[in-house]
Amino acid sequence: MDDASELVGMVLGTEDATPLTFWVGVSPEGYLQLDDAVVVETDVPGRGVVRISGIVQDVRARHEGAQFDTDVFLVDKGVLPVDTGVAAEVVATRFEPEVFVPPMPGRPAYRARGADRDEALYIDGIERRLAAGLTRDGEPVFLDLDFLDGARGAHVNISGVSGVATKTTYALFLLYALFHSEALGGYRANTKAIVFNVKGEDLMWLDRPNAKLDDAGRADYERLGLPAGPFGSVGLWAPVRRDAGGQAIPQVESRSEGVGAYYWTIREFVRGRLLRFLFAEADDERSQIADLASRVEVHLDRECADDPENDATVVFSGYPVNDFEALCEIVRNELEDDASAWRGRAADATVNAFLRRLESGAFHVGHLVWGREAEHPERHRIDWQASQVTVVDIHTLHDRAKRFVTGVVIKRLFEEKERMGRREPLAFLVLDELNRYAPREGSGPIKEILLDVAERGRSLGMVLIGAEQTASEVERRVIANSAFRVVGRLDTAEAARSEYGFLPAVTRARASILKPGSMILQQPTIPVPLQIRFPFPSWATRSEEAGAPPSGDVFSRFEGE
Amino acid sequence: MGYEPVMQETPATADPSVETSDWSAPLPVPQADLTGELWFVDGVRRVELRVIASEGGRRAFGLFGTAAAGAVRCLGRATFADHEVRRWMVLGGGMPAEPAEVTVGASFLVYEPKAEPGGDPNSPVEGLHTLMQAAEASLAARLAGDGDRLVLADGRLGFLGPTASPVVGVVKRFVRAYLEPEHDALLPRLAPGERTPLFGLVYEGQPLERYAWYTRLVPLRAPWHDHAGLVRCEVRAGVGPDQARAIADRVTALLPRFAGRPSDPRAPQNLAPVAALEAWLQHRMGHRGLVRRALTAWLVEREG
Repeated sequence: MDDASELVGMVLGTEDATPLTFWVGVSPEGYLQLDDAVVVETDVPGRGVVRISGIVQDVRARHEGAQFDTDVFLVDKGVLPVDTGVAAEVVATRFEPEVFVPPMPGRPAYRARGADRDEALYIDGIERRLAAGLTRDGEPVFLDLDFLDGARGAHVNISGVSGVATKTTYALFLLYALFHSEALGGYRANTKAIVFNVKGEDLMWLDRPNAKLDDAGRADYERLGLPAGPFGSVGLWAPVRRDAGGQAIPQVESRSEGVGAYYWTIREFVRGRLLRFLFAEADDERSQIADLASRVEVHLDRECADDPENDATVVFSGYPVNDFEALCEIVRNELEDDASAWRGRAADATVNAFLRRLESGAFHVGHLVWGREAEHPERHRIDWQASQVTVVDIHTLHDRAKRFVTGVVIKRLFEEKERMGRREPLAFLVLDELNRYAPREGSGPIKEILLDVAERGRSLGMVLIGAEQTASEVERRVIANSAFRVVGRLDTAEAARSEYGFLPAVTRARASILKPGSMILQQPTIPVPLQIRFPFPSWATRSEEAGAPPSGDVFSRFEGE
Repeated sequence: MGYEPVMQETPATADPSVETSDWSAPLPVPQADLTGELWFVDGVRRVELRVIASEGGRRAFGLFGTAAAGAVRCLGRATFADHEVRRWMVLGGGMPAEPAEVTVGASFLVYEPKAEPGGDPNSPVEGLHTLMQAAEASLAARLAGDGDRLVLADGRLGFLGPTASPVVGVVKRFVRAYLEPEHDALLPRLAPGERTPLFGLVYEGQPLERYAWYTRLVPLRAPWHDHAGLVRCEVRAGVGPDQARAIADRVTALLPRFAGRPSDPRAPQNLAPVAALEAWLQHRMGHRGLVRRALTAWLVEREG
């Protein structure tokens, strides 16, 4: 692509030019399209030349001299002569030097390329760049890594309609760019990411190249300075299959090898105080039950001893707790005993509600907590340090189990980052359906952790890449703490909500017609949201796309299981 | 356009028998070729500021005015083509005028001098009108210099010299009735795409100068008088009767397609391309208020 800015027109005099927006009359030989960067120089008496850069926000074309709507038919018949005027509205992004004046009508306007474009988009000021996608005419767009890794800000929030908004794919593209470029420098190898797979088995093929990637797609990667291939280091985890007869087999449909089966042991459940995540849905009664749950957690932890004969279980009152059912039985017996200290001052109704939930929780989650039957439990503990990207599949699980798994994994991740006490190396957490885990209304243990991540993650080096269909249903503070806001195809009604106030009206309207693969990106350093597209995934997203695995199989350690 | 002086149409006699003596029915025209290159030529003028000049004890009416002529080219699409805008200082009473350079914003307007012999208050306007007609005629002549096109000039033919392509004058106003009542009776019965037989226009003591015919642009509508929607077309007699008939047929077939729109007060005789061209030329004369203000300032400066 040519790096010289090209003359495309002149600042109009028939529309007001203001320092914030102005119109450019587009010459018949040129064109301007939405999101083009434009640069205009204007003379300011006594101050010299001011360079005004901006982004095209709207473009219009009209017949000049035609008065009536039907004139167009006469024009077409060759009866009525008219002129055609094309004009583009430019929103100013930058003034060098900062003299806020409108550009004078008649000043030549250039489509900014190369260094001019970098200036218009403040890319020249970004020292640590991370590829974020391409503009529609193929120019690379970068993120300022300082705002992602916690140095000056952190977190990404992605909104958009399911299915068309390609939220997860974009989140993965960002991870891919992080892990396959020099952006992270020396910390790259130790930076990790946990991705929850919530829909289909889309993410279970990250380690395979995408056989459907064509040359155009490869060229996109090249333009962004990225290799086109699969993720280099991936750990895949699926929940252990229910009723597998003591065999820890992962619950996956499309893929038979290379997937680890995860479960927790009774001992981890007791020591890690995971009980609360069985009660993770938010509702009105919750606070009483949550109190009771934390009491029970404390008592379990205190009154259970490690089973000397088995790493996975504990001993309660001298008897080993063989399975999750037995653990629930202990809790039930203690709570139904009026004399037990476990129940504290909880009312009967609270205890009953607690037990009902415990029962339902045990039914849906019980198969993920193993006791005596667990062999080599350490092999079934989600080890997010082992691979760069750890995919935790939860799509087959019941809602209650999904919450349990996400809650427990995020909690552990957060605690480990907290213990580490420094930002680097970073840990990324990709979580879709944020509205489910951090809803605007109500509270719950997962929401509390996510709020912690959103508010303190920046200093702890834990970065949340959250996605949801509707930002209006997600806790405000989670969104407010995101340095980057990304929007895919939006429902029109949703787009009208105040959560998308950062989108100018025209951009907002565009959000409802975005195609898969196109996003609108708002970043702290650029005052205007940009429409970008990101390359077709170079990693497989379905079994049909999966090419041959790269040599040096990273899953060799799973073999023989 | 506001004030319009009554322009003279020199008396001429019509010879209704140049094509046929049978004026009993309109002549339908054969389907003509609509694909050729067609040009419309028209002019506009605008009085910017009226002045009274005095020199010694003499006073004369004068004006600052603008005359423009332009063309629309129709070939599949209609596009604005050649045009010319000239500014004039017309002084009546034969008083000699001099060029004036007037600053409007960042541009200069040069007013060319034109002395008009008449001393009547209307003489300068007539002078400006003549300048406009001359511009129209010279543009039409220039355009007709290239072959393979048909040039339709608004108003009476301003020149009668031979050209490579025919020039047809399209006159929309009935200033003078040329035909005797027995022939005139055919006019209300014309339908779009029909014409009267050709008639010759002869000026006293001159040979036959032009062939003319009437044609209708649109069907007659209830509130209209029976001459509404008619135009008179004329072509120089030099083309000969056969050529004149072919041109008449072609123009008659073409014109309804370009009939003016009902939104135009001069519809339908003011053809749509011509109406658009007039508005476009008016626009190219510049903003009236600004020009007027600049002229006033120029006068004040000159006198002060």
